[in-house]
Amino acid sequence: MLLPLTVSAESQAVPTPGYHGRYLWVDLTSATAELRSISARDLRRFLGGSGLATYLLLYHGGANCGPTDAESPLVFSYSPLVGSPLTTSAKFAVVSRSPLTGMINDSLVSSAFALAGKRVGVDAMVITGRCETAHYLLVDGLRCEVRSAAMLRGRSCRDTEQALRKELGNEFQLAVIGPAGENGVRYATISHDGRHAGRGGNGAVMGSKNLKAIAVRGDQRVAWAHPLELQLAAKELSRRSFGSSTSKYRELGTAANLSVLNRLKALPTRNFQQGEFAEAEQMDPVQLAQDYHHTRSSCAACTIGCEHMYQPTSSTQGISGQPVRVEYENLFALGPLCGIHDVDAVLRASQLCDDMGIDTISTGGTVAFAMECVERGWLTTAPWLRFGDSHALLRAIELIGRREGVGVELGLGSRAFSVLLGPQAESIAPHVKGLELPGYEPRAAQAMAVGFAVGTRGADHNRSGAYQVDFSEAVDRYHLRTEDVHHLLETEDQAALFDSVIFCKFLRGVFADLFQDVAEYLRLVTGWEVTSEELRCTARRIVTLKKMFNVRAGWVPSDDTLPERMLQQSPIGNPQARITSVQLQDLVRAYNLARGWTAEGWVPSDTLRPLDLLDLVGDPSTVPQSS
Amino acid sequence: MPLQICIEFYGSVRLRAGESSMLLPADDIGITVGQALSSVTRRFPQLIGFCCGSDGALQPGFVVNVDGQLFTRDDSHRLLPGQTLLVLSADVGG
Ligand code: SF4
Repeated sequence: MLLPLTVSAESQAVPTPGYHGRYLWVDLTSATAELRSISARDLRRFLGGSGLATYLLLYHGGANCGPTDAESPLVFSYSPLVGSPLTTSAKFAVVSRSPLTGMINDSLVSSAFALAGKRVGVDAMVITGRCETAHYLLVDGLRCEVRSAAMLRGRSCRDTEQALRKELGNEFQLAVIGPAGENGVRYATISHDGRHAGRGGNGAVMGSKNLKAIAVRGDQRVAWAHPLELQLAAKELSRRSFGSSTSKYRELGTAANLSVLNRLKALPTRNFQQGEFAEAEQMDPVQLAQDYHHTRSSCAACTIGCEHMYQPTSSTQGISGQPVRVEYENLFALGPLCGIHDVDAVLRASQLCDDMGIDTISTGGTVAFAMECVERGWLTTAPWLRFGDSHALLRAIELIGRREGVGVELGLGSRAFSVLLGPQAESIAPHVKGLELPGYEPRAAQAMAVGFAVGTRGADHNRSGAYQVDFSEAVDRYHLRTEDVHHLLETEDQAALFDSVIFCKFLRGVFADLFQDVAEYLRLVTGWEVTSEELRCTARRIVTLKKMFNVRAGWVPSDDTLPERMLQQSPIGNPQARITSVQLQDLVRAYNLARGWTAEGWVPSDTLRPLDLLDLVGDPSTVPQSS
Repeated sequence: MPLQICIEFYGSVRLRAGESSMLLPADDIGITVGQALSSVTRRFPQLIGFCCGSDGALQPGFVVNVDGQLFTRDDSHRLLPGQTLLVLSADVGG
């Protein structure tokens, strides 16, 4: 069915270079679409990616409805750099209210979808409403259509992409969900070309709209303010991206973290009971490259190419025998966290998660939690779920994706599952605000501990890179002091800039001064005379905007904490890894004050004025679309 | 027990060295990080210009850690016999 498109007069204005100055709003319930303007002021305030999408989500009332309510908006947002020759810039953000946490959820994905989506002629796409049955949305330039996806129901992410590619051709780029998204698994992903908007359950939001896929194609290009200088700057950035600061990513990928974190006693093992895994060295990528067929790949428009793929040596029924992308996070979560050292099983488990469309960190975290509950006798309905049992892991993933058996409870995530099992189980559920912890033992990395506790999307290592602070000369990671928290703010602000402008964070070692360098790239793209000070303010604005979303969505100060067990015990074998509730609260208070918020974490209006956010106070329905 | 310092390699450094560790002799007063790294490059010349210079100065993008505890880039830091020096990418994590 073709959707009638309304075009506002303002959306036809000449846009700022680098932008189209408008976004596509699609309501699946009424089967209508609108082209709406975004003012130059708002583009400069929120840049794009995560920042712009959070703004649009708030504007469209995303904090005022349930994550899977029909009216809950799902926002795709590009950036001024998308389509430019700057390396690693072909990325997009997907933002919604998370079904896992109830808070803001922004995920970043590469690659060609960003290029094609921006060429539609918009800077973002807001999808609201719900189809009556399974459909997919086709956006071909400004022609929007919803088509039946009945034949795609229940099919894996990979199969869905293949089927749609066959039907539509290779010019369309696809964002799809797997069975898990259709079945409402709270940590379902949105997949594009095997890469996932992974955390927090954007796939479940898409599934709740009965939207199996989105296909985009377009030919609208934006202008660049200084195209010749931009080409030269891009060439220089590409040259620098080949230096030693990215060698780890090029040569081994993030999987190289596993041995290091193990040595530093910061590798979460057996549901965070330990910080070391005896068999970790077997999983080191130097070893993997000897044991498995190894290939390398990269996102579109990237000169680094950090994706390392390994071919499983055995196959399991229902799992395709394709090479598997291995990152530290899937390796740790489906390996040591579940007590599993069989690398082949971890590869197959990763592949199964990708096919089902579920986040590997939350999958590993929730399964490991359930394994410990079985061990302690608190979960009796799935006695086969045992640490170290790779068959049990594969069976659990299949059940989660299909939402069958114990997969129904596992699909809720560790927080909601633990509530069903009782207070003892709640104390060991490995989450913050409902989002499972990634692969950093917070008691052995206390800057990261605070970063997890205050994280707006929950326990997260991509919105707070505080582990960089822990594993540096800057602090004592076992004894963080309140005066150290400014380091954390810096990593959060940098992440907010990376995710909004958008650059891949693996470039971070390449920039001499991130804010200064990005200011120059933005000048070349947009023509704005932007300074590093302005960008620092922009980053703080975006972090605060996410906090404002959460406040509106029901955040309370007690949400900023760690799992109870982590505040009471050290991991086995590392007594110095200890942080008490009082210490954590002091650090969180210091963080809040350093942000200009109250000690409890509320955002006062005198903080909003210098951040130019005053217009967002009050009922979101009254937020002006300012110009 | 001979007086020794263990050097462990991680990530790209291990890949290039082709070994995961090596032992260095050390007397009672130990050796500096710079001296240790200089010895490393004599044994593994392929690391010169990658993670450190032949004089033992660390290249940007790399860091060392003592006993899994202390991160440092100070090449005058003194290592004592029995200690372990980890050589790794400064970008731990990600
Ligand atoms: S460095 Fe890796 S994640 Fe980043 S853009 Fe390149 S391939 Fe993608």
